[in-house]
Order: sequence, then C-alpha cells, then structure tokens
Amino acid sequence: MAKVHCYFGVENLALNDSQRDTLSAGLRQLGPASHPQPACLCHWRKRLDGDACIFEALFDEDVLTVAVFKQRLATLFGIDPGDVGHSTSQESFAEGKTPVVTFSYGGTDYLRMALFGGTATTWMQSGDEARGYLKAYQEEWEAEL
Amino acid sequence: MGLLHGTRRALLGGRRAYTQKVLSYNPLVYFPQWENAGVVSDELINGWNGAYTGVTLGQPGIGDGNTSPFFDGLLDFNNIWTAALRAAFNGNEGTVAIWGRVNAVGVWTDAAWRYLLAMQVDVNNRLYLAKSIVNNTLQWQYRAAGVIETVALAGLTTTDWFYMALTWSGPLLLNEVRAYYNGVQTGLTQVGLGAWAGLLHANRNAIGAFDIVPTSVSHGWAAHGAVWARPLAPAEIADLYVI
Repeated sequence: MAKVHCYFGVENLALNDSQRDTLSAGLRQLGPASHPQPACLCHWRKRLDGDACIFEALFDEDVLTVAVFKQRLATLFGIDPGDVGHSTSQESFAEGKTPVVTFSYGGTDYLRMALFGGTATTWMQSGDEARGYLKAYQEEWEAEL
Repeated sequence: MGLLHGTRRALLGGRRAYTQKVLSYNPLVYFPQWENAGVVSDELINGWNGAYTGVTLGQPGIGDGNTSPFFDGLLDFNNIWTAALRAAFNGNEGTVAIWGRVNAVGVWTDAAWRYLLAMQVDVNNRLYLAKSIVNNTLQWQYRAAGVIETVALAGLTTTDWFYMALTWSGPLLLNEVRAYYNGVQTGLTQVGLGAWAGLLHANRNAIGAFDIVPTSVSHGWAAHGAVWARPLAPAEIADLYVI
C-alpha cells in the first residue's frame, strides 16, 4: 500500500456535536498504529471553535480518496455510501494546489475536506499549503494575535 | 530517568560536552531533545519527561554532536507539563533558556507568533520565549499578577541557531527580569515585577508552541530547553551560549 505523508483538513458544515465527535474519533484512527517518528503518527489540531481540524500522518494513500472517504462516512454514520454526494473545487493557499471536496447527504452539505497539496505532494509541499491556509484564517485558529 | 534515546556523546568520553555543562548549573528540568525516535522527551534531572506530538526527530543539532527535533509550524509541540514540575516550579524566581533556529528566512516575516517555550498558569501569570508576530523580532516576556515585562529584539534574519534566555526574580527579591540573546543581555533590565500566583496549567506548558492545542507553533528547530529555580548570572548565561 502506497503511503503519503501529508496534511488534510476537515470542516463541519452541518453535523451535530455527536456526529462531529464520531467523525473526529474515526479520523483519528487513520495513519500507522506505530512509527518511530512522531510526525508520522496521526495527530491533529482543532480550530478554536471546534468545528474544523487539521490532521497529519503517514497515511495509506487510498484513505484520502473521495470514494474511500465516502465509505468511511457511510460506515461511521450507518448510511449507504451511494447516498453521499460530493462536489469538488480547488484552492491554493501557498504556491500549491489543494483539492477541496464538500460531502452532502439528503441535499445538505455536511462536511468539507481539503487535502493540502493534493495527492501527488511532498510532505513539505503539503505543509506549505497547510501553513498558507492557517495564515489566511489566522484569527480562527490562533489564540495569540 | 530516560537515558536510552538519541545520541549519548554528551555523556561519554573525557571531553566536557555541552550537556554536561548545562547539567553543571543544576537546572530544575532539562530537555536536550536529542532523541531519534519515539514520543518521549527525556528530562535529565528527575525523569519528568516531556511528550512529543508531531515533531520530526533526529534533525541536525546545535553542533554539540546531538540531534534536535523539527517543528512544522502547524501541529507540533513537546508537552513539558507534569504534576511534579507544577509542584516544583517557582514562578517568582528562575531562568528559562533554549536554543532555536527558524526553518528559513521567510519565517521571520510570516506574520505569526511562534513560541519556542511557554510556561503558563493563566493569562496573568506566564512567561515565554518567542518569535514575534512583528517582522524579524524575538520577544521575551514575564508576566506575574498581570504585570507585564517584555523585551523585544528586532532586525533579525538569521537562519543559524540562536540562544534565548530569560531570568526573573520577583518583587520580594531582586525585582528584575533580564533577557539574553546569544549569551548577552538584550534590552534593559525590567523592574517592578508583579507577584507570580498559581500553578502551571496542564495544557499551557510546552516547547515549540504556545500550548498543546497547539497554537502558535514554532517553524524550525529547538534544542536544550532548560528551567532553573534561580536567576542565572550573566556570566553563566554567557557560558551556556558556548558549545
């Protein structure tokens, strides 16, 4: 299984607190069970309001695809993955490209996921995009300004 | 005491090494951050180990033969709080010191606070060593009972290692705060301190970040973080700058 060391972010759009916590707990299981480098173990940072999170780990490449992410959401919430819709866009927060996917269910957007730097990214490129994102939304993520 | 990680050149051989020098000044806690693997940050005095999150270990060190961790400016920190440190820490008298290095010259102008070391009770009682949100500036701060003592050093562009230290002695003692950059006092001696109150907060004492959320994460390297229960003398700080 190919691995990718990168950052991704998720933003809650309409999940209730219980659903959000269920999703967060599920995403925290991604990444290796063990690794000598702390950077490769799944770790995260919450936005100050608790409704967004940035994750980093040495991920299996396929867990970050739209199809697998939909399946994960379906499993977490007990729904048919075929009923999970999505739309895609692209952002750039530094000099890279960050695909953004919005997941929906029953016509309501519930979750936004950004894969910083995209799928064919180096760790540093992914980090540059994530740092650029954090800089752009500094007031929402940083306690000290 | 965790002595099985990282490079042990500092404790082997006849030649006096940097780590031995730090130890000779009897710190309260000392985190060399010399590990190459794992999540435990060795604390060499009492085994009050820190816990790494997200750092990349085994990176080039200050030149003492040991390695250092890289902090990504996003999610990384070393949580140095323990109940034992909380009980032992004296907010009214002490020294903190650490080596730091930014990832690239652009970090100096990235318009973000990046903390090398923060020790906090609450918003009114805390101290830190940080890269300021102001371009090209480092900042030292000691705050007790809401009385703030700040020293800033501007005009910095270095991508080499630098050494920051802060000494404090409360209103019933010397009543002063001094900031040191690369072994030499920078700025004026600050006087008129407040009286530190409270115990260290479990989530707000870290190397490489402001807290363990984390926020205001360092972007670069940090090594040899130490805390003393007394204000070190200028000559001692100068000696600790020499590798």
